[in-house]
Amino acid sequence: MKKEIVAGALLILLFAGVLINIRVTEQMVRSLTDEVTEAYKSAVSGDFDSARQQIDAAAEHWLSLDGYTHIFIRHSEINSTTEAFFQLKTDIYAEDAGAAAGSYGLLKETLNSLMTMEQISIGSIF
Amino acid sequence: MAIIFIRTVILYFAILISMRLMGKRQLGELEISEFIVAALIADLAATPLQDIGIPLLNGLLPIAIMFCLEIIIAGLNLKCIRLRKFTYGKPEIIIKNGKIDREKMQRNRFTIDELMQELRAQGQSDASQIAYAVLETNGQLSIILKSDSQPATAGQLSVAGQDECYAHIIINDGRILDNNLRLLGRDRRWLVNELRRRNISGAEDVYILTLSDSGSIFCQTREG
Repeated sequence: MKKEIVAGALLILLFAGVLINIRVTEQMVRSLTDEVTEAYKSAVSGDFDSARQQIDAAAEHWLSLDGYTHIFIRHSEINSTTEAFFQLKTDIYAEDAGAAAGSYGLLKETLNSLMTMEQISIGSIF
Repeated sequence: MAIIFIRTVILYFAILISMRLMGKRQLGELEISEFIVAALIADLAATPLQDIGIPLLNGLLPIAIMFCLEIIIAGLNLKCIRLRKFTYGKPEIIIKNGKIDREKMQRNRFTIDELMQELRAQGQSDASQIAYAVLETNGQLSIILKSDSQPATAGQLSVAGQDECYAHIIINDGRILDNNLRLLGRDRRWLVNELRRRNISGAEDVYILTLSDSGSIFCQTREG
């Protein structure tokens, strides 16, 4: 019976780990989305100096999470997110607020998909 | 390539440990639930091996979960007969008193050809000689012959039989197994004397040496 109890405890521990991972992913995505939104708002208001600094900081933040993302997220998703970050960065550096709107929408959706993929829902299970 | 190498080593040991902890069954004797786990584990391990873009954890986590579930279900099966019937099924009597049960054959998707193949594999070809043939939950067929078809035992023939004795390996490819020596109440001094009697200088020249409970020795040197 000891073996079954250990297996049951391990199963609970793994499930708890999965739930913690959902929370960590949510926090990571929310904080990155906030940073990106700040940069986009600055770009829309015409303050491109602040926008450049904010998008650089956001991109740095995303790249610094490498240790976590490469273990828990599919590498294709990581590449898509990094590409979306650099697309928005390019548009902000070009001071093109119109193009930045599209890049911002893409990046926000890409970040959201990282979160929704992990969340427990009928859609993500099936 | 280095990633694939490291992943293969990790997954190999993960599967080896999980399969080892699940039990000591042979692959051909797997129950349905065990077969499902074995097949799924092999497939899950292959995915992150083929595609290094998939995190290794995506392969290891399901293996760990299935290992836990298998341990829990196997443990519950020991306690609950109903669950055991549900997960493993129940043995079915395919032949009773020499008569093949067609309905049970069909229910178990067992063809006449397969039945005859199983009978021949067990040295039988005539169903009428069989008292019971039971299709076990692991897919194997167990046969009990009718009393008039069973070989006579030494007891039935009133013949004094020899006691069964087990031959323990004492030297395995030049290596002395001290545990087996102790089990039979012998020591290395006895072994050296036995080797000398056979003109063998040392254990390293012996390929195999066995000693049975009755004291009989079988010895073969490396030269044969």
